[in-house]
Amino acid sequence: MKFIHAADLHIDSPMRGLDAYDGAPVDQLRGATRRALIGLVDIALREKVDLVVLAGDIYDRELGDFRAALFFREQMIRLVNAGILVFVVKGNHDAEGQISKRLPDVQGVHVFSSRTAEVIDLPNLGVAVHGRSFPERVVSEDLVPSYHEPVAGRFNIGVLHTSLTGRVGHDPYAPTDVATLSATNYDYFALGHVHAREVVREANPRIVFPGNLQGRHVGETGSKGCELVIVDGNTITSAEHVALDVVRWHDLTLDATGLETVTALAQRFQEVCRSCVAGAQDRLHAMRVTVQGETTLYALEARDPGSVAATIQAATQDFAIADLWIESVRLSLRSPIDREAAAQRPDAVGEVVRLVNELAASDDALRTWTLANLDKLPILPSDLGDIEPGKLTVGQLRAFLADAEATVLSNLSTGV
Amino acid sequence: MRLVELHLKAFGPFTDQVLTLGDGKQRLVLVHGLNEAGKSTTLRAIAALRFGIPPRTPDKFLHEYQQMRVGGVFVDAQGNRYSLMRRKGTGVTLKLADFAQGGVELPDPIPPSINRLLTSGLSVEDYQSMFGLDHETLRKGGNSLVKGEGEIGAALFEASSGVGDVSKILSELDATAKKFFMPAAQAKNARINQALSEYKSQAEQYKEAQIKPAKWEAIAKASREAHDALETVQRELNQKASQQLLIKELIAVAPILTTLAYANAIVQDLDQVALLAEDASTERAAAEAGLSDAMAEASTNDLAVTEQRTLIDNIELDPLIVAVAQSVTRLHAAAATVAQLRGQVATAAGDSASRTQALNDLAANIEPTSEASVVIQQAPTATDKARLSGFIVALEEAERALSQHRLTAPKQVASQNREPRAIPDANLQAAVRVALAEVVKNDATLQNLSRLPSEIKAADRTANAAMVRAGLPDESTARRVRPLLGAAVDHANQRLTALGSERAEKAKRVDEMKEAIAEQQDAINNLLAHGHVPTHDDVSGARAHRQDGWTLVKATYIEGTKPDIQGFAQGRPLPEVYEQAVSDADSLIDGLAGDTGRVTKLEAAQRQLAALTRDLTLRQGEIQAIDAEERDFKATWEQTLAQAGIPNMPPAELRDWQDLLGTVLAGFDGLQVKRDELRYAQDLEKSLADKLLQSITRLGITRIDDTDPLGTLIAVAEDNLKQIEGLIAASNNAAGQALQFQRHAELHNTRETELVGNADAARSAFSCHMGSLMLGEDATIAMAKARQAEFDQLLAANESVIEAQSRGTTHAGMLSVYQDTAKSIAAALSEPLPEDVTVAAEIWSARLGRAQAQQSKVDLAEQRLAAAEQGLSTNQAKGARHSATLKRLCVSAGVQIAGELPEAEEKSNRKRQAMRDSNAAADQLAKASRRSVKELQELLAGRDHDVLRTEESRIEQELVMVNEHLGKARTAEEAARRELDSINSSDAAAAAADAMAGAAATVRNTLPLQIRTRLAHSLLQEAVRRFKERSQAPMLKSASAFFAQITGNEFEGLINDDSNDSPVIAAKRPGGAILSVEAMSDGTRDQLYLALRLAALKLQRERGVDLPVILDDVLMASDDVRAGCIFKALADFSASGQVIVFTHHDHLCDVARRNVAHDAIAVVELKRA
Repeated sequence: MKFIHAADLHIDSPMRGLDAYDGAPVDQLRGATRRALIGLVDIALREKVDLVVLAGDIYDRELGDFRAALFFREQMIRLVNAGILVFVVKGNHDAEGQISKRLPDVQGVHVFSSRTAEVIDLPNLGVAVHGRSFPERVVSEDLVPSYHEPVAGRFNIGVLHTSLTGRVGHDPYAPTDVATLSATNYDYFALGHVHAREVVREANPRIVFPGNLQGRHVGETGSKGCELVIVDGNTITSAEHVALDVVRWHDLTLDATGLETVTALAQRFQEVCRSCVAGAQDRLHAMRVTVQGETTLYALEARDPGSVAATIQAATQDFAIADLWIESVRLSLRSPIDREAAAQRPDAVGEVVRLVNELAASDDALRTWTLANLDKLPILPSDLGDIEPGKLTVGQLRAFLADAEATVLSNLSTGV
Repeated sequence: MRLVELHLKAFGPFTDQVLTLGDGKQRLVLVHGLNEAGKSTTLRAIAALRFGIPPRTPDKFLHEYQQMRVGGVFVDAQGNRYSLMRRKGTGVTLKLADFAQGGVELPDPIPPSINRLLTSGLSVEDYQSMFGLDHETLRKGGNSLVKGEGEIGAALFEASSGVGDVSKILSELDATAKKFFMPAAQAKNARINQALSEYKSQAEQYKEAQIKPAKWEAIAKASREAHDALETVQRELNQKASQQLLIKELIAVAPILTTLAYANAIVQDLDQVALLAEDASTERAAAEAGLSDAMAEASTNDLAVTEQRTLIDNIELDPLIVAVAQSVTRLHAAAATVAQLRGQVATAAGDSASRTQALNDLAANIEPTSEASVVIQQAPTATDKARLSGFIVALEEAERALSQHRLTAPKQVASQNREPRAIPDANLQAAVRVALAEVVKNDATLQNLSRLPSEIKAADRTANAAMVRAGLPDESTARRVRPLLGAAVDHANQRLTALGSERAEKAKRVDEMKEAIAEQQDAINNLLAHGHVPTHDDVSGARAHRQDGWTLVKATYIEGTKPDIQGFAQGRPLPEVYEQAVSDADSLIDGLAGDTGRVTKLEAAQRQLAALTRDLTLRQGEIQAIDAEERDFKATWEQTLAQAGIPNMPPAELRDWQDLLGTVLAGFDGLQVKRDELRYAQDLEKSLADKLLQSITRLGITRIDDTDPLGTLIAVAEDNLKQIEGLIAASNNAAGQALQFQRHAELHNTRETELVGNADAARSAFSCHMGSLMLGEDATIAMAKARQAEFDQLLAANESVIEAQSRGTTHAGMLSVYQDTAKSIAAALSEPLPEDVTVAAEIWSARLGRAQAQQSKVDLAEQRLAAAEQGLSTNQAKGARHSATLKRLCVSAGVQIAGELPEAEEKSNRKRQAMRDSNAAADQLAKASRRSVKELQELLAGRDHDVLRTEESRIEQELVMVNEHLGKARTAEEAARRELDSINSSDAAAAAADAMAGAAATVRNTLPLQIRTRLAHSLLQEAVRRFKERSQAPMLKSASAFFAQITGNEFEGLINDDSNDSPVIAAKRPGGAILSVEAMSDGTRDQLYLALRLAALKLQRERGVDLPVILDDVLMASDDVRAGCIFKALADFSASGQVIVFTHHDHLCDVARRNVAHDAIAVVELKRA
């Protein structure tokens, strides 16, 4: 028996944070979550799997476009037409969504009830699939105790959308723990909700978060896809992760220590990228690049903010191995100055440093001065409301002040 | 710290070259070198000596990296000399050196203080931008002044530390900020503007492209309903069609049913007749012929069998040994191998036992309570190992990254850790500042305190002197004087003047009269010179006199009345005087009568004289009257003056006196004013001191005495405020450092959070895997690796045991094969198991030889016997087969003997035909209808052909109507379905959402850059403003002096020209003409910028930054006169620190020598390397 375990499809969830700068491979981004699902179905057909288990969050709760559901249905029909059974539990994103409520059933696709746990016995495959959907978005109870006893003589698969004992970045839904899961005497727990792949327990039962099919932002890095599991009797003979992501996210740290030119930086970036994309050159790679270290490039960036990012973006154009898209370039470059000495200087530099010191000494003064000197923005869309200058925290204000000081000093070319 | 010797030991093209840069007094150094002499290299060497040789120096082409050296002798402000050598490299590159020993580097470490003296805490870039000036810098600075249109704040700001063109920087920052975002609503090209526009556009597209689930459901429901309606009509149509088909079917099946019934009746009649095969008669004939032939052949075969059996029975065989012949042969051949295997089995058993013990020991190390086999089951597979290896690498990498990252944690500077001193409350500070401000405000008054006492004394002296001059005894007297009105004084003065004039006129007349009288008298005297000439008047007079005498005589002597005679007698006796009078009168009368002509002249003269005398008297009387009037007036005047308290004086003097009095009074008034001022100042001083004292006391920084003078209090207050400013500056500085620290810490923490997350994830993955290694989740990497190694050893030991066991098993197996062979041979021969396989093999081998010979004979006979038996058997079987065929045919036909078969075959053929007819009818019926015969018969019951035709016609009409309904329903269904189908699974909305996310990302990514740039712009602008406010006056004053000196006083100096909107710097000529920066020549602008830079450097030097100023070819645009002026200015400037000027112009050396004292400048020749 062979089955695929996937979760957190989040169909049509947009790729967040990708600024369509000039030269970015925009076309390759389109429909990434859909293409990942198509890839999953392709794999299922090619591998002639018996089951596909989807452990929740098929859609994004925020999405209201029913076309996502139609697309999902199309793909499910592809599976059932090939005789592949599909088992779905609804997760927190699906539970109250209008999409999943209105989507017509597909024969061969079983959506587990949210009222009670169900077990579907498949004697001809020697498999029993257990599951229960989320009745509502927030489920604070442990659903596992409601699950049925394992069916004797079957390979028992439990399908569950849960955060287990809690995972960073994920809301604590349907909490449970490994001991509880193990106590069910199932053979495999197909979990969903956590977007990072994690083999929680290797065996007895094997407990796996497969991660989502497609990373959608830089917080979801690395290979994304599904689990392809082969079972002989009650024994798992093979379990492997199959990459399906169309866009792979990376959070890259680039050590620029000693680099003095943008050319050298571009070369270093490309070297790092080569290893990053190794084995996955056929897909788009979205990267957040953090440049750190002691480098004279600090002065360049300070003098002309955005230069390092532009360099990295330009370097992607010359990178022939794979397509790259720079999500953002963050700088952790330091060039501390002796403020005490600088503040005592009678010249321009001293004036700038003293002014900054004075502004930094009072949060209120800093806020007042900053807001008075910033351009007035138009009304921003709601999802950009957090970046309005009026909502800047003191920490952010201070960061901007420090950066502005660096820009001024660098432009003055004093070398401090 | 001055550089007095530069040792170019191994630097650029130089090797062991020494430049002496002046003696102790020569602080202005002119280094002259021709082109290509290495001037630029020397400049770099000077910087490298102080700040280090840069890693990517252009001066390493001649000397090896390790050999590069530049040294120097420095002199600090106290005259201490330091000999230092700098090498190229990393770490400590500066050492003390002994140049007397050829520049030997000393091992002693350089004290940090020397480094501080060398650099004054500046970076090399700072040093070069602040203290380095070349022609290009001057020109750029000058041009920058022009571009900034001389804007004074920017000009001073730029010159203060040699920074770039502030106006340009501001302009570029503004342009950059606008490139990111422009607030104007119509701005479209800035990135954020574009992104927001794109966001809006995509949001609209997203909205349009979306299909809401409810909408889809409504459309789907409409489609379903249309579909249902269509199906309903379709069902009705189907029903009618079914009815139509049924009628047609019944019409078709009616005749077939009749045929079927007939055939079935025949079959029924022959029901007892067996149905034979169609070829039954042919088969019967063939069987009868074959039976006869087989019986003949069998008889011949039987005879041959008997003969061969007899032969075989006579031969003696040993079948037992032959049966195991191959075993015996193999066993005999393997005798040597068997012996060898016996030894190998023993050896393997020993190995296996020892290795098993080792295996058990290793397993016990891993899990003492489990069997080794159980532990081995837990050993990781290759996949597990690979996975574990991945986990370990990931964990090590994550922990290494985290560890390395933590090493780079930003450190707080010491001042951040210091507990900040409390800054007094702002109100208390303000109170001190107010108190000080009041002091400053009243400074002019307070300065009177020192001035007024002497002024009062002087004024007192002046006032008293004036008072003395005015004849006044004291001030009170002067105060009592009531000055007369000017009119009164004028009137008095005029009156007196008029009296004087009248009197003078009268006196003049008197004098004239006296002169005329004298003339008459002379005439009379001339007339009388010839004797006395009496006149009638004399006579009358004499007569009158005589009469007076007579009267007196008469009174005296006659009347006895004793009149006053003194006037007449003049002390003489009256009678005598009277007699004389009588005599004189007589004489006169006689003389009158005797000289009439003379008498007439005389009398005329006398009359004239008398008239004159009379007039004179009159006039004199008038004069006396005037005098009297004058006296009266003066008396009145005196009285008036006295009443006014004014000393006596003529009116003519009074005005001056009164002026003097005014001076006196003004003097006293001024004196009083000054005394009042002094008193007020003293009161004010006390008041200010009290306020200052209170405010200082409240500050609580310095303990002060309430008797401290105001000056002390001011000093204390200023010192306190300075301390507070220091505290605020320190606090601000701490805030700035905190800002920097927080910024760095923020970056660091963000990274740390990521790295900790990575490490935790790696640790979690690693820990999850520990169970498979029979370790707890808290196991370390080392433990995991150790356990991995233990498992590797265990598996290796297990392999070893298996190998030993396998080897023993293999050998034993091989041996047992031979033993089993022997055993099986013995069993086959019914012999006991031989003790020695090899011996038994020998015996069995011999027996086998013998048995095999006999067997060959038997084999030949048996071959023949078999052939005979085969023939017999074959013929017997043929006969049996034919008999059976005939018997089977009889059974099928239900007869006893074969002879009855032909009749039975004929009945069978008839029955078959009837059945075929029935089946044909049934087939037709099946084609015409799927219903059973019974069902059809029921349906046809009561329906003859006519009835069926009528029903058929009715149904056809109904079908036409239903078809019409169906067409409409289908159209409606198709429309609904098309609408539903139009909603496909397009990702248009998702694409728009992606585009919105992209536009949002653009805004999110760009806004920080815009904010940073905009704030940088504002920061710089504000810094320029503040710098101008703080430094304009001292810097402009200083620069002004330098500029005047540099231009040879062609200009008086620099001014702040605020006649326009924006104050600009301008030069002022001696005549007062103003020259704007734009109107200056390039050279003058250069010199203006040089003056500003020197002013800025002066400020740096005042702060204690003692570094040489390096000027490189800054005199290119100056003629000799200006160059001389510049040298003079530099010589003056060098009094506060060293100035080194580089030039390749030979003539400038002469210019310098002509204009600067010999002991103030050193001219150094740089020789080509």
